[in-house]
This record gives sequence, C-alpha cells and structure tokens, in this order.
Amino acid sequence: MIPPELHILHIEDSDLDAELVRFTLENGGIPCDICWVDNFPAFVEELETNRYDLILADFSLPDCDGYKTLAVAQEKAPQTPFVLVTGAIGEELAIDSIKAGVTDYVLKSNLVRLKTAVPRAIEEARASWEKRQALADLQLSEERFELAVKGSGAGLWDWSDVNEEQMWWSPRIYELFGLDDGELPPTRSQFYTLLHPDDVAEAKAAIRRHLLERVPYDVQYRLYNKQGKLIWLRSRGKAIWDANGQATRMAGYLQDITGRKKAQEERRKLDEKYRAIIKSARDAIVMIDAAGLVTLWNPAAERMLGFSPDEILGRVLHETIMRPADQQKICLCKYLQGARKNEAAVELTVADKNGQQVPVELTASAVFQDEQWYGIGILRDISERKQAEQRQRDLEQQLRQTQKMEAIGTLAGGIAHDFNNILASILGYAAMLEKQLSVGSRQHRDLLEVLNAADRAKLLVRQILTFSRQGGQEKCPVQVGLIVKEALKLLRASLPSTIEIEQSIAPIDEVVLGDATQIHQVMMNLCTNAYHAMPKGGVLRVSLQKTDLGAANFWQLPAGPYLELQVCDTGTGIEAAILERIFDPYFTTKDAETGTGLGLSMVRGIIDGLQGKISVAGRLGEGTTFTILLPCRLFVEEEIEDIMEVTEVWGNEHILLVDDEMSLVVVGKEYLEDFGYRVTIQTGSSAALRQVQAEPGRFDLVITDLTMPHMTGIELARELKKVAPELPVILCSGLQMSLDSEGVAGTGIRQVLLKTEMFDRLPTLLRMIFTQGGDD
Amino acid sequence: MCAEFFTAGGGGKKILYVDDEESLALLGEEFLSDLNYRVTCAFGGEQALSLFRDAEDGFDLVVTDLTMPGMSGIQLAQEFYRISPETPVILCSGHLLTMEEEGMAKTNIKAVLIKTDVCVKLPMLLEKYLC
Repeated sequence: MIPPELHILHIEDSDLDAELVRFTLENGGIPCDICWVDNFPAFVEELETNRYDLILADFSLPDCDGYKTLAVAQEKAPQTPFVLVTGAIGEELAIDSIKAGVTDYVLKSNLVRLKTAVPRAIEEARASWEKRQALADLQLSEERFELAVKGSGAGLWDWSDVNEEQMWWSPRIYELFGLDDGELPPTRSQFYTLLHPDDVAEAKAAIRRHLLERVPYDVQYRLYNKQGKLIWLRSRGKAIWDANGQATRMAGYLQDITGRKKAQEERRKLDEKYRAIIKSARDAIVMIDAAGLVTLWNPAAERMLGFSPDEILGRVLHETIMRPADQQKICLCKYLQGARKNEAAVELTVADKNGQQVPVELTASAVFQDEQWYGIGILRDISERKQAEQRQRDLEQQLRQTQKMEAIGTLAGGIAHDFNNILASILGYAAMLEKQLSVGSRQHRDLLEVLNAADRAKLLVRQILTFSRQGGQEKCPVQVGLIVKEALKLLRASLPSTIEIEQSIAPIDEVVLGDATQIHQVMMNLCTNAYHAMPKGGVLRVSLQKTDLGAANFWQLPAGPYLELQVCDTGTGIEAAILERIFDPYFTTKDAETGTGLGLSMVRGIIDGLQGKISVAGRLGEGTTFTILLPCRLFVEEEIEDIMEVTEVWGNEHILLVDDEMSLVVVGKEYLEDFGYRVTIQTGSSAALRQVQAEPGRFDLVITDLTMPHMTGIELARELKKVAPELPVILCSGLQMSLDSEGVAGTGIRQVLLKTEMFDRLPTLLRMIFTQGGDD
Repeated sequence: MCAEFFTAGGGGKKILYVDDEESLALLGEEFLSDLNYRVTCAFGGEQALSLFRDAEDGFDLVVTDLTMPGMSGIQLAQEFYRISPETPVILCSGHLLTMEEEGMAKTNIKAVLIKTDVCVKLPMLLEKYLC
C-alpha cells in the first residue's frame, strides 16, 4: 500500500542528479515530496525532525559514504526503507550493502528502475516491520500468559495425546506435589497414585465424562504431597476433539484451594456452632426480614409461643402470632420491625398460640446481610421474675400494712388511755351534778344528754382499745366449737329465713387460750357482716375444724395444731381493691347507721391477741370467705371451772329492744349481741306492742325507753302485761326513776335503768333476771 | 343514781383513793363520800404510802390508778401488801386490764376497772369486797 504522496529524503551532492531523480519519479507517476540535502549533518537533522516514507542516498558523498548514512538512518528511522542511488558500484559492494540493511539499489545509469524499485522498497519495508511487530507481540503475549499463570499459582498440564500415558507438567505442578522439577515422570497413572485414594474414582470419572460427553471438566480432589501435607486441588481443563468427535488432546491447570477449603470448613463449623447455640438457647430467638417474614425460629420460640418452625417459617410474623387480648398493636412485631442495631431490652407481653399471655423481656437488634435488613429478637420468659417481684411487692405491702396497724394501734391506744381519764371526769362529775338537780328540770334534761353522749364515747374508746390490743384479754381455755354453735343458735333465731345457715363443726378436744366473750364477738361480727352482705338472702356457711400447720406455711404462723374457723357467705362480695383495707379501723362500706367501721378491726385485734391469723378471700359478686386460724392445745381437766365462769355474763335469750332513737337501739343491739343475745329492735312502741301481740312467746325480755311518742315505756309495759303476763320488762330512762315511781307497779317492769348506765349494768342484770326469775 | 341498786351505803368504811390526776382523785372522794364512805385522797404513790402507814386504824380498801409517775399502782399495791396483806385494792386504768398483769401476784388487788366505769361499777365492787 503506497501512500498517496511519498515523503522522500534524498541525500545527493550533485544538484543535477537530484533533479534527475525528482524528474524520473514525477515522470514515473509516483507523486512525491522530496527533501533534498547535500551533506551529512543536514541529513541527520532531517531524520531527527521529520518522518519519511523513503530514504534515497547517493553512495559517495564528500563528507560520508553509503554505510555511514545507512547506519544513521537505521538508528534514527529503522522502519524507513533505504535505497541507494549510485553510480556504478561493484557486485561485491552491492551485496555488502544489501547485507548491511539497504533495501535496494538503483544505478544512476538506469534511473528508470526507480519507478519499480521505490514502491517495492516501501512494500518490503512495511512487510518486514509488521513481521517484526508480530514477533514482538507474540513475545509480549507469552510473557503476559506466563505472568498470569505464575500469579494465579496454577500449575499447567498438557496431555498432548489422550491415548498416551505421557503428559507434560509445568514446574509449578511439581512444586504443588512437593516434588523437585522432573522428580517423577509426568504420566497419567503417576498422577493417580499421588491422589487421595477416596478421590481417584471421581477424578477418573470426571475426565471420562469430559472426553466422551464433553461435560465441563472442573473437579476438586485431595492429595498428600511428598511432605505428607494434605492439600486440596481444583483441576480444570479442556480437550480438543477431531472431526470424528474423538478427543485428541487435553490441557488444563491445577490450583491449590486448600486455604479456601479450610475457610469453608471453618465457616461450616462456625455455622454449626451458632446453630447449636440458637437451638439450645433457653430464650426464644426469632428473626424476620424487611417484609416481616420469619426466617429463624428456634425451639425455645416454639416452646414459648406454641408455633412449630413449620407453621411459622416463611410466614409474616405479625399476621401469624397471637396478639395479647388487651393490646391494640402487636408490640413484639412493632419493636422487631423498628430495630436498628442493638436496642435496649424492653419488657412486654406476648401471647402464645392459645392466647395465653407470657411476660417477656425483648432484646431486639438488626443485621444487614447482602444489603438486606434482618430484625433479630431474643425473648426471655420473665414470668418467674415477675412473680417474684409481685411476691416482693405483696410482702412489702403486708409489712406496710402491719406497720400501719401497729402505728394506729399505738396511737389509738395512747389516745384512748388519756381519753378515758377525761371521760371518767366528765362522767363522774356529771353524775354527781345530776343528783343535785331536780328531776324534770331543764338543767337535768340537758345534763342527761351530756351523760348520754359521754357514755357513747366510753363505748367507742373501749372498742378502740380492743382493736389496738391494749390489753384487757382474759386468757382462759375456751372450747371454740361450743361458742360457735351457741352463736349460730342465736343467729338462726335473729336472721331472716332467707338466710340459710350451713354448719360443719367438727368435734374438737383442743381448746383455745382466750376470752370466750371475745371469740363470741368475733363470730357474731363476722356472721352479721355476712348477713348484711346478703340483703336478698343466701347461704351462710360456718365451718370449724382442726388443722396442723407445718414449719413453712402460707399463714406464716409457727408450726403446730390450729383451729380453722371459716365464715363464708354468698353475698355481694368485696372489691379486690378494698379487700386489704377492710380490717382498717373506721373503714366501712356500710352506711353510718349500720356500722361504725370498727367491727372488723376489733375482730382482727382479738385474733391477733390470740396469736392467730385472719384472712379474707372473695370477689365482687361472688361472696366472701373469712378464714381464722387460732392456735389450740389439749384440754386440761382443772380448767373447767374457768370455762364455766366466763358464761356468767352471756346468754342467748331473745330480747326486744325499743327506743325511738335509732342510733341508740343500733348500739344497744350490737352491744347485747356481743354477749350472745338475740336482739330485735323497734323504734316505735306501738309497733313493738304489735310484734309481741303477734307472737307473745317469741321474746324472753323487753327493754324499753320511757319517753316515746304515742305510748310511753310504762304504757307499753302495761299493755305487754296483758298479752304476756310473764314477760319481764326493763325500763330505761333518761330521768331518775325507781320501781316505786308512778305507774310502774302492776306492770312487768322488773328493773328501771338510767340510760347512761344501761350498757354497763345490763349484762349482769339480765343474767340476774333470767336466772333468779327476776327477783330484785 | 348508781347507788340506786347497790347502795346499802358505805357505812363509814375508810377508803384511800389514789390518782395522780387531782380532779379524778377529788371526784372519787366526792363520789364515794356521797355513798357514805370516809375517803382520803392521795395524788401519788409516795403520798398514798405514807398516808397508809400513818393511818391510825388503817384503811378498809384502796382504790388506785395504775399509771402514775414514780410508782405505779401495782408497785403501790405491792407495798400495801407488805404492810397489810388483807387490805383489798381495786386497780383503775385508762387501759383495759386483766387480772394477770405483771407484778399483780404479790398484791391483794381484787379487781381491775377501766376508769370510765368507775362511777358505775365501783360502788358494786366496794360492796362486794367490804362485806
């Protein structure tokens, strides 16, 4: 390929010859641009500054010869063809110059030859250049290949005829086998002897599959190198098949993959370890992806939440697991989906498959794998801890309650003591003043009110002293069973028939060391409460049995024999919130007329005084059960007398109490009931009379106020005498009276009492009347 | 009034009435005097003891408060017991007491009484223990 215009450098000292050459070329149809120089330095300068397609040179110049110009041309422009244009030269010189690298020579005498010589020289020069270039490229490529192979650490093998044993192994292969270069002959069977025996079959099969079925050849096998070290090798290669489909040659490389294999093995072991840890963890471990799909669910999660991995893996967590009934959102999922890195632990409630709630501590965290977000949740069942905390709170509550009661008791006891001194003054002086005033005077009436009020205060203080356990308990052996039975007999008579009484009193020989009156009081109080809780009727269950408590018992009582008294009703029940307050003094759910709020605190005071315990159980609407435990011991014979003595002040007779002042009859009823009496109250004398007329034998005694509207106490007594001549009557009055007072004679009135002394004197007076037939 | 049912009257029996609270001691004196008792008041244990020792023909009965500065009613009763074991003592207090309080063994305390009941029950008790 000849360029459209040749750039030619011509060195020639003869301007004529130069012109001839230009003429010849132009005439010969070879377009060219000739730079003519006539000396060596100019020639060199041109070579250095411009590029030429061809150099034409005269052999003999004044400052140089053809060899010199050729040498500099070969140095400065090695690829540019060099043609000598010369006068006659000998054959020998011609051959020499060709040998030296001159492309061609043209005799000046035959310049016409330039027309063919120039294009040919250019063509030859290019061909020769390209050949050299190709050789250099090949060399470079080989170097590159060698570097790549060396760099990869691969060893090359070549099995030039697959029907022969002989192979070629590169030095690296020997190195991989731990051998010196050429230490063993590189044959196929030699190779198999080096392989790990377990891998030989597969290696052979892989070769066969490739040669026959052209399955890509890529196998991994083990071998022990000469030093006895186990190495893993990967072998890849490719065969060449002839036109008949017969494999002829196969080549490939071996690569040491021991490091990679080891890393894989390490990772496998690590995975196994992690799997074992996750599997054996006591905490539930779950994992979800960004879409909420469950990707991990360990056995503890199955135990805690009830779902097996089969049921939940690949499902959307928040659509599958149960939500606790009282939660709008599934907190677990919310926390998990919001997890970023390591979150602080939170406490929440989850529900298992059956909806059963489980308190858990959730530690949420997130990981990114392949740019994918995964939320990890570790759920710890904290039921036990919660229970322990609850127990702790209960205990603290119990302790606070005890301390509170003790503080109140101490305070109340102290106040009560001082108060009694004050009251004693008021009562005493008022009583003496009363005697100096004329009955019926206004001053007398007013003073009686003072006495009346002071009297009520006196009773109240006594109640406070009882609940605060400020002494006062006589300790005698008491047969609780008898007292319970007695109390129930009294109650049966006074409670309406809508209240059914069920009793189960076990025969018990043991006695409780205490005060019979107080135990009676406890029974009456609890049963009256039960009755009040059942306004529409119900069942009152009372049971008494002996029980032995072990060293560590629910009651936290010393081990030993106890009596267990239970009073149970089917009434309105007590709200859980106030259950623990019901023993507090002045705490009452009843209206002011029905209760003082001291009843249960008194009961508790009494039970505490007996070294016993009382507890209450029940729910709103499901009735209430009081359980009392009292320490008991075996009955000793000589103590009988004491038992008899305590019955001196109490009885079970039925008394009708009549007073127009409601508060007074309520207090009076409570008071008399404490002594075991059955008491029916009436605030109107006419109503009282009608009641006795209806059932003359029902009452054993009537206590009536004197001053009442419509019918005075004396008038009532007179009317009662007509209906029930034997019915004893006690007349109470705010005024000073005696049995000799006007109108008293001829009635059933056996005693006249001042209201202020009524409570103190009644118990003994009643026993006196009932046992002595009422004689004064 | 209290005497209404129990009074045969004190018949001039000699009572020593002890309470550190003077108004209560005076109340006792006045109250029991009305019931025909001859009452001597003392406002503390020491005074009561010296009155008791110095009394020419002694006292028929002592009513004493329990809680007093210096000497409690029970300690006082123990002293009386040493001097005159037969003299009955009635112990009063603002607290509910039993007959089993500490120290009562070596006394002739016949009854315990809450103070607010003094006016009502004491006449009866006096009758009982002065018979």
